[in-house]
Amino acid sequence: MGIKSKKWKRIISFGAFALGTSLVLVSGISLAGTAERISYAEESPFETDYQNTADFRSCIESRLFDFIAMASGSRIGYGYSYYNYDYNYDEYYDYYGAELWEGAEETVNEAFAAEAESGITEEEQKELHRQEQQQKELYKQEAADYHNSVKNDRNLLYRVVNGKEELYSNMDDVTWESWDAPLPEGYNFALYFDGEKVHIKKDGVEPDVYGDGYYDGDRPGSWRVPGYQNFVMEGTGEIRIYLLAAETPFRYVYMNYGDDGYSQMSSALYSIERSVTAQAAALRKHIAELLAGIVLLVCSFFWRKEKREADDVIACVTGRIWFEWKLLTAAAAVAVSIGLLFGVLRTEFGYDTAVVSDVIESVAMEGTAASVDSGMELFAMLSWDIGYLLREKAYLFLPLFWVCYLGVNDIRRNRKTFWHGGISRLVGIFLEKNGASAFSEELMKKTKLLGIADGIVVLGGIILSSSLAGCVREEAAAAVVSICAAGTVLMIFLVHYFYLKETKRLAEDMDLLTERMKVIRNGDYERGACRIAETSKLYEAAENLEEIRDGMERAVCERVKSEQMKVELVTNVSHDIKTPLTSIISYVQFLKQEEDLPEHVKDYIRVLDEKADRLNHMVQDVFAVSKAAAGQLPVEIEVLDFARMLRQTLADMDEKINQSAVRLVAELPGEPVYIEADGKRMYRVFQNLIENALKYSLDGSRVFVTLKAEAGTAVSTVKNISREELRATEQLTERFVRGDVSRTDGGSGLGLSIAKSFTEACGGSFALAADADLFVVTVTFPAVCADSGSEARRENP
Amino acid sequence: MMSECVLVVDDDREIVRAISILLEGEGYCVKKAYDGMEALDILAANRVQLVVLDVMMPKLDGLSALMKIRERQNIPIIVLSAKSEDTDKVLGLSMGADDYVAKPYNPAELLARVKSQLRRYTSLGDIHTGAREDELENGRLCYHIGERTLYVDGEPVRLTATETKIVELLMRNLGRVFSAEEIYERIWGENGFASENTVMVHIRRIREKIELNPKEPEYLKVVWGIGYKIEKMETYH
Repeated sequence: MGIKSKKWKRIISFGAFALGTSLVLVSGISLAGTAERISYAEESPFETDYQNTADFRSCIESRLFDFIAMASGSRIGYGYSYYNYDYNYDEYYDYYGAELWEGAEETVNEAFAAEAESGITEEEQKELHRQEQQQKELYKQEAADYHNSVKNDRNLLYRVVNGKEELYSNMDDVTWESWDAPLPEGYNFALYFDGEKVHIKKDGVEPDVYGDGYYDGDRPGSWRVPGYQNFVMEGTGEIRIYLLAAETPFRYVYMNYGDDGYSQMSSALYSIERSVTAQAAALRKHIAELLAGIVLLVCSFFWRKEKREADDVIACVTGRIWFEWKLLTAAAAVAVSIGLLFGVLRTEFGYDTAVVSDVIESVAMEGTAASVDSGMELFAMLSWDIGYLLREKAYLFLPLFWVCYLGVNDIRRNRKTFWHGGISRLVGIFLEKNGASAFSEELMKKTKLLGIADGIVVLGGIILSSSLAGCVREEAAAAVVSICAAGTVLMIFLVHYFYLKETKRLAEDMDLLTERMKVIRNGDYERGACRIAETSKLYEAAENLEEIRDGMERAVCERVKSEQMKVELVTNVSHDIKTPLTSIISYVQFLKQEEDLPEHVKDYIRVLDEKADRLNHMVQDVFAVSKAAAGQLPVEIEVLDFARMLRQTLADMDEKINQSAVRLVAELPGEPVYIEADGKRMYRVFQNLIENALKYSLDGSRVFVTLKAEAGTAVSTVKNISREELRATEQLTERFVRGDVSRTDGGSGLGLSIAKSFTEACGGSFALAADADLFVVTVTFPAVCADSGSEARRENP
Repeated sequence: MMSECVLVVDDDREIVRAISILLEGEGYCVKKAYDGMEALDILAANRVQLVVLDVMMPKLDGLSALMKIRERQNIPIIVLSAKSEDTDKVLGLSMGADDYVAKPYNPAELLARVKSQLRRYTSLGDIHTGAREDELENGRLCYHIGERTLYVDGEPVRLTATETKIVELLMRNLGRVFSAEEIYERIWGENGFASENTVMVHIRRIREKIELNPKEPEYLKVVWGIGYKIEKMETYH
């Protein structure tokens, strides 16, 4: 499958899912609303004949009562007369939009009769009579008005007769002679009130109205009309009412323009028929939508993998959006939906924002108890009309669903949903660990503190301005203040965010710089990658640092080179000296072998021999010391016994020691003292030191050679009493360090210099001290533990 | 016996002369050359038993000449050089030289080395004789276990009983380092306390008898801080 078709598959599957869920949701909600209505309706929701509905019956019923009232001169509109029935219930009052008026309880005649009984004065009687007349006139006027307004509704024809007199009728142009005569064209429903009972004819059939003779309000399909044994109207014996209802109502509108405005009345039956048809149609539509939705969902189920992929893609997209925007969008969607719902409530049912604001007020002012009451009130009202909301405005719930779906999708697939946003970024920066160096830490801390302080100030400002806005009753002004506050917050937030970022970058660069400085200080002169960007303020400083490092690197290189050159020079020179020296030595040897030479000549030859030999040694020493000073002396470090080495050296020099004018005292420990050094070199060192001691000691004095192991170090000393007056130690060491000849008679003048170089090349330390005539040389090495090293050494050739 | 011929090669005429006087004084016939090319010419034309060869020379330097000589002949070659570093010595020996002497040389030592090399060449021949079972061979030294005699350059050396015991111990374990106490115990059979001096004295005496330059021993060495050994000689060719 190509990628393109994969993409299409995803789109299709998700589209099917989206459409399917939306349809299911909308139709489901609508059906739920309808179901609610169905639950208390008495007929099937698919009923198409409007005349079979409870609404139709109640409309006819109310017209009947109105006409009865008109015929008897009672007041219309309060069409329910008092009736009694004792069929298992005590009282039964029915609310249908009108309150029971006490005056309607009895006809005027009865009222009159009752008054006559009670014995009132004539004056009062007259007044009463006048009032009665007034009342009658009023009722008559109202009846006439009512007749005028409904007479043009040809959907419902009526004829009201009291006794012999036809009071009101709009049946004049229609032929319907008697009850048994066929109904006029277009009318299929007829009702006839014979003063006592009601007769109904629908589609030629006369249904049984009264059943078992007792009215039961709960029984579906029953007519609520007089004539039951427990529903008797009195004083209506002479009244005859004829009603005709159209088969298919037309829309009649009656406009009444009067001095006090206009009123509009439309045909009741028409609206009933319309609503029945509409409801059936809507139901069919909803069911169709539901089925379509289910089909789409099933389809998308087969491609659920692609749909999941589509979900992922969507999650990717939403993941990039900042959390704040998402929150705002969700809140806006919810607010809009609820607002629209409320708007609908307001326009359709006259709810006022006052109700909602009352609830909010009571929540704010009076505490939870009162708010619960107001809330319950609101809830009661809402639930009455929720059915309508669900049926008609189901689509308003759609945004809520989609917000939830997208939100859940986002949270499930993106780990950092809540953390991806402006505020969380700021928080992240605040909580971030600070930089490596003390400087950047300080910087960042100060900046953050500033940010927090600002935040507190802003918060205080917001609180202040919102309380001000609260005091301002004018909505527009409050809105302006809120907007200003929000704007200020946003601005400060942005300013701090960018400032913090900038400072952090600077601090990071500073860290890099100080890090680099530390590296260079530790001696790493190699060119490293400078990670400070060119755009940074510290770039120049970094460049300068790099140049310094370059300079240091060059200096070190040159120093190393010059040291090497020195060694090379010395090597070459010493080689160049050795060649003629070879000849000198050879020929002096020949001279020595000559016989028959005068004594003084032999003496000369002896001097030559001696000095040539000395020259030879010196050349070798110079060579050795220059290499040692340049660090190029090859040393073979191994583990050896310091004590044994000293003993061996003393044994090796045994003859010389015995031939000298001093006595040598050795204070060496019996057990081994192991160090890591080059044996050959250290032998040379001590040979040199002891030779010096033997040569320059005061006759008859003692030379001490000691070795002590203490606290992890091996300390060896060679002490002797100097024959000559010792110069100050500083001068000695100075000359010594410069490698100059410190002892001029006999021996190699560079002896001490070599000894020091060799010692240090082996990793030890070498120190001279002079106290009065006592000359002390101290050689120190770190002591090591003897391990198989020495054993191995014995095996290897 | 026909006197053996030695070729001395060095660009310094005085040195060549000095060595000639030295060798001729011992009865050797000396041929002289002052650069590598001349040396090769002389070798082609004459029978020579040993070459003393300087390293730094014009036209053809010593080491190249050395290689060229080694292409044809197996005669002993002693390299003479002002360079005295260990690395130079190893280089020279691995290029094919039999010995390496640094300038300025001790004439007695040079003489001794020449004699030693010639003795080995003529008496032992240029065939590398495999060590027989009771012989311990190591470079110039050869110890006959049965005879209890040490031969240096084929010549027997007079050693005292103690010295012989020490030499046998060290020759049997070439390259292995023995401490003074160990040597004392094995030789004298007693506990070696303060044995350093005694052993060192014997070592010094043996050195004087077998080493070409006792002050710079090649075979019997002190391993400072550990003990003593006879160095195992590497064969370079």
